[in-house]
Amino acid sequence: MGSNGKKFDLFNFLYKYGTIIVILAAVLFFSLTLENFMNFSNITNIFRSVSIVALIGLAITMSLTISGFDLSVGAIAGFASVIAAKFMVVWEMGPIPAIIVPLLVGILIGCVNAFFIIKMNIADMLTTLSMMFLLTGISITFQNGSAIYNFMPLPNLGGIAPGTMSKAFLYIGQGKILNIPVPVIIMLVVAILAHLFLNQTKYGRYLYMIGSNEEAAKLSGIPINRYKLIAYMMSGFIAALGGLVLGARLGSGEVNAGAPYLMDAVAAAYIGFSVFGIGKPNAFGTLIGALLMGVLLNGLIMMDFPYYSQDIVKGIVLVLALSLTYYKRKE
Amino acid sequence: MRRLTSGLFSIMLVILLVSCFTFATSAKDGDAKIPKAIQGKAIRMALIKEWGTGTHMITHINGARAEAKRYGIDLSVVDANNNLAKMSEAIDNAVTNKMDAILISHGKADALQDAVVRALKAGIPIIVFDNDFDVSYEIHRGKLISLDQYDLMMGLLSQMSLVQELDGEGNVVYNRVANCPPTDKRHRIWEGGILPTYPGIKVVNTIDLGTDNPMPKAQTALETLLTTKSNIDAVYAVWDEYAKGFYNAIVASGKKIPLYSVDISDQDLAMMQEHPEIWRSSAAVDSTIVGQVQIRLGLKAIAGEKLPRYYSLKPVLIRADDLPPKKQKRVTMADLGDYYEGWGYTTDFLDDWMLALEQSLKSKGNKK
Repeated sequence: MGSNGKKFDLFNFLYKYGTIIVILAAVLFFSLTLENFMNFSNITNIFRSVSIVALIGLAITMSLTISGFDLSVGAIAGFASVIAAKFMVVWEMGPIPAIIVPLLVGILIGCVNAFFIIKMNIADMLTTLSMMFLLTGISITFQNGSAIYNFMPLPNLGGIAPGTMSKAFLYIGQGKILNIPVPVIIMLVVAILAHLFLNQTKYGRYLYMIGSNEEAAKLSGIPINRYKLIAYMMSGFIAALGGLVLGARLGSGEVNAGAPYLMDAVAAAYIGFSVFGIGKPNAFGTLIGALLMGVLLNGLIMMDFPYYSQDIVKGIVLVLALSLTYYKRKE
Repeated sequence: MRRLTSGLFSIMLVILLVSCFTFATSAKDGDAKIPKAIQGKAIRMALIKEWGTGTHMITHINGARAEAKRYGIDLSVVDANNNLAKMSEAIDNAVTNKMDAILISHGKADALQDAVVRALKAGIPIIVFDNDFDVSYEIHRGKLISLDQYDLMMGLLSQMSLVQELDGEGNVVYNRVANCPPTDKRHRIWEGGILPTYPGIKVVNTIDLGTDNPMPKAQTALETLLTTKSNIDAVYAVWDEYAKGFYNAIVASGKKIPLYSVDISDQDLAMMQEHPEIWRSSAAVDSTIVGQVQIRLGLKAIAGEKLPRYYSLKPVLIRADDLPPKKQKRVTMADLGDYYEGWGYTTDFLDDWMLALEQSLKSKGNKK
């Protein structure tokens, strides 16, 4: 179909640039209709508002590369934010353990997921679904059912909590470097690293090979179990990082705070398939997918649309992006 | 025949003895007579909650537990974890287990209606908080009581607090949560009472992000408005989960925009004390009292007393200015009783016979 170079192929063009065109059209529309849409602080706002969705989306992208699926990422993020808050507020520890321990816990959860998927042969979706429930429950137990925040009264008449969320920790979610919010910098750095890892290294190529044809990858001598383990560990790590940004942005460890990000992150990752017609999970696409939703939500909030209309828009964008990807695959 | 007569005779003797005993004990405990249906009976109640997490709900459970303990009631608490099917199942289980009363908090009426009707038909009283069921008198026989936090009044108190501090004029970012009974009631006051009465109050934006974990979303939404609009004079939160996100957004913006809300938690109080110039006030009912009143109404229903079909608990307007500075004391919900009447303990529906019951249990405990 596309072999005839002279003829302009609309479908191919849409396939490659459809998502980008939608973003540009949305930006153009909002900047013409809303007077403050295009100012610098609103643009940084949009980037900041998508940072958590993008990070959790990148975590899912990692599991998607090996054709797996990690449903526990939202719960990992929520759990990470709660651990960090409890370390600082209740146990009076500094920002360093409050950052390192949740990240290690994220990696560990990735290992546990991989163990059940690889060794027990449970479907990835079911394993990570169980993990999601488990983590949500553990996390609520860990926080005695209530949020963890500065100057909270401790259970059993334990007085007021001695510690506070450290300033250095809050900087992750609220700070700015050269007027650019720190969460945005974290998101961009992780996206670039993930992109380089997936496309420029041997590991990344192996992950994609396993994802496209596990049997062939096995026959060509790739230790597929080890690479699956790597994918889930990275997924857990990035999700936990997203959780730290979430916790630092909220300034507290909220009950079940990671849950609402799961579905948006899944949508971002799948919209990402269609960006530049790549047709497979990729870090850059996930970032664009998250941005696309962020731009639309930002504009709709400014235009005072009710929230269910936002879900309608999200649904339409996702189904369009998926149609582009899967229709192409069918050919 | 002889056997039957002697059997009847012995039964009569037992009844006579028991009633003498009852009379003796109640006479000893003072003039309040503990109703027959309660006296000497092991009472069991079930508290079935749509969700049991968060300060508000934990305080509710603790309030109910403490009140149940006073009267020696065996209270089992079910947290349905936001699962309505589980909630309705828990009601059916309570009927099967022949609980003496069922206390419910929240839930959606449609999902629970059938189970509630089954319980009422089995003669079990239902005391429901923040929800209501459309059941005819023939079925409920006066044993269905709907409590609410007087959401209409909470809406009025919090919204008037906003109007007063703005001197009746200003641009407000308003928040509503549609299709949720308590927030709908609060909204009705705004729409039908406040806006027509004070035309100087203008809504510049309405934020509604549903009931599922709205805090982070509310924060992002208000951040967007604060960076793109310069004319915002006040923010109203119809529910404190939103207020927490709004508070974060206002603090991060560095602006001094006042925030008014409904409901309160320890976390809200900590924020209010941190920035009293931002979070100005919140109208709330102590959820301890909800638990207390539910248990008492349960007892009265078992005793067969006549009860109101609806009851609204009295709300309190908590104002940042009434609280001590944060350096002096960090205030929690448990301390609010020191600043406001009607917080921490109520005498609503507290009868003399309940005190007598409590007293008789105490003296029994001492004898052991």
